[in-house]
Amino acid sequence: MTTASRISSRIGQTVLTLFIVVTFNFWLFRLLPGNFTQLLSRAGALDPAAVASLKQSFGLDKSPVEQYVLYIKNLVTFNWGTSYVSHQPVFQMVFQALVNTIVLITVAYILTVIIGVALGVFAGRRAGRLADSVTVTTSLALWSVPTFWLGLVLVFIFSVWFVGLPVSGMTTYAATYSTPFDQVVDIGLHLILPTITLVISSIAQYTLIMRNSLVTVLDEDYVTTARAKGLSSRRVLWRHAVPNALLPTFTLTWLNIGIFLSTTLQVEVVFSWPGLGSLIFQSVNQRDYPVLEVSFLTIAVVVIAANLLNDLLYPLLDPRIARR
Amino acid sequence: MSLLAVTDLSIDYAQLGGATRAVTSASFSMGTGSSIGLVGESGSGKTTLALSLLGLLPANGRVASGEIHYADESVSQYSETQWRRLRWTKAALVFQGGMNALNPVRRIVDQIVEPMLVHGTETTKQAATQRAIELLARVGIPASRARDFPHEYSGGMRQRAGIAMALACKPQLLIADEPATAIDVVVQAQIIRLLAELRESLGLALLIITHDLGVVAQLCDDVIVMYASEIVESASVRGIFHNPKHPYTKQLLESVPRFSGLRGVGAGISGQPPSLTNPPTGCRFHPRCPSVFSPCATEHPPASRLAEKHVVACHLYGHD
Ligand SMILES: Nc1ncnc2c1ncn2[C@@H]1O[C@H](COP(=O)(O)OP(=O)(O)OP(=O)(O)O)[C@@H](O)[C@H]1O
Ligand code: SF4
Ligand SMILES: [Mg+2]
Repeated sequence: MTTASRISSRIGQTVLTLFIVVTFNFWLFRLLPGNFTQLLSRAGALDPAAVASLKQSFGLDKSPVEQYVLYIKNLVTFNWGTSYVSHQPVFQMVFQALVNTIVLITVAYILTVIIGVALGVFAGRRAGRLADSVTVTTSLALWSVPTFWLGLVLVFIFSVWFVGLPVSGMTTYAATYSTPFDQVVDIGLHLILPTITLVISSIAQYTLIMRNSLVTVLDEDYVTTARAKGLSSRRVLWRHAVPNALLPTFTLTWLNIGIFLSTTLQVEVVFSWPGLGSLIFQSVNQRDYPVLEVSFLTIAVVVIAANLLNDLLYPLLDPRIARR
Repeated sequence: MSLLAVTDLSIDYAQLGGATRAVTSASFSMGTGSSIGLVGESGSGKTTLALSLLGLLPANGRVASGEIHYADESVSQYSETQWRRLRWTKAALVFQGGMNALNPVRRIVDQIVEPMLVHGTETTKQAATQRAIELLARVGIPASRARDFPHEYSGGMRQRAGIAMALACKPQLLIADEPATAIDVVVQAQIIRLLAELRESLGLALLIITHDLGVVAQLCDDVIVMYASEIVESASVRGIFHNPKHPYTKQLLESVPRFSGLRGVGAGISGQPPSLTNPPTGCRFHPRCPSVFSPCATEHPPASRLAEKHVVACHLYGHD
């Protein structure tokens, strides 16, 4: 298969997946408990005329198929409705939250992968020795710590014992900044604790996968060849072993974005980070269905996009896939 | 002066419950342009011996005693840096055909260029690339395929590329571990012809490790037969094929149809290969030997020289 046809068929698959997710999302929210108009009015009983007019304005008087078509149409035209609670456009709310989540997840995920891989290399080249066992055991121990609890412990420590690092929000409340740089610094400070929480609780997988993959690769004939050529052990490791050992880790990195995202959403709640997690948490409490619906869809799209990116980028690392 | 001299070399692998001796008191030497075949069944210590010549034993392996000399230089006190300088410049390895000896994510030409630049055989990337392409041409791979990745090559081409790579730093000795295993017979014959031709034109010395006596007959002047970590017989190819002395060597020859004159599958060697952790007493071959007699189970047979080049370790010989 040529590269172009491989890419286009992969994108075709992605569009199909998206379509299925959207459809599922449509029916899911039609089946959830709660009377739509009651929820909307936030009142017990409404007079029938008001109910009818509300139903009409949301298209609820139409058949399910018509509603579905309307739903798709609204979706692709970014006409995503308004929040039951704040009466702001859902698009605006979810978009802002998504941006904030992306800030946190990008910083935390890059650090998790880099530190995880580095620890994996550290342990893998010392396989069977004490440093290896200590790294592996510690990673596993940290992995089994509940993220939520770890976050709360950090909040406690930094609000009681080491006051100074912000434990809540994305910026200092009501702060005014003299330069944009000050604002970046402020956000950076707020990022520290949620990032530490995420890195600690997610790093183990990357360390373990990288370690095991490196141990396997170090046994391969081409590593012996590299050593036999008289290359320095550093060169053998970084030029020959690590690039091969990275391949499984690379796939894991993309496939795990969904899991990492769900952890991030929890951590956001603990640290009141104004992202999708906090938005969903708040919307669930208030049964703000339009916001929830779009938030879930957004998460699904992020995960699907990550899978697509993995498939499109992997060939750049592994020539065996590239030219097939 | 010989190119390579191995004297009384013993190699141990550390393992749970004690050490395994994978090579026991091996001695042999190779002159410039000579060619030796190292044969013996699986697990007899051939690869271990080959790796020790480049200081490449696995982490749990170590030279327990004995000496390795390149020209008149002993490597016994070599530091890792000294080993690195020796590798690929004095002796290079060719691994088993079609196997994983080439890095799957790097281009063939880059893998040949790399040792040239590291050892200073060539000083510029261009010159090194130029010579890599010449080496590939020399083993029959066109320049248009130089930038391919290993998976784009056939098994035979990978083996050729491995040979070209081994020539990168102009070594005097090529150590080939099973160079013709795992590729089909036609390609196998081409590889053997290529090695013979390179030996001729470059004056390379070859140490060929193999199970296949046919390969030895075509490529080598001398043969070393190993059994259970020991060298049991060494002689010229003629001596081994026409006048084998050690009962194990005789069985090895009989097990190959084209030498025994038998049609179809060869006789094979009966009995189990010996354990190295707990080797048989006396002569290690005695549990499987058809000529076994009184001293064999208890006394280790000494090596006796039967002719200038012919040495055998068996109680049947040397007791006049
Ligand atoms: N890293 C190791 N640790 C422990 N024992 C080892 C190790 N490598 C090899 N051995 C043992 O040493 C002995 C010799 O192995 P070696 O690979 O040198 O044999 P070989 O003659 O090359 O066999 P083959 O023909 O199968 O390649 C075998 O018994 C093997 O099990
Ligand atoms: S020493 Fe004895 S057992 Fe060993 S090969 Fe010779 S005859 Fe056979
Ligand atoms: Mg071997």
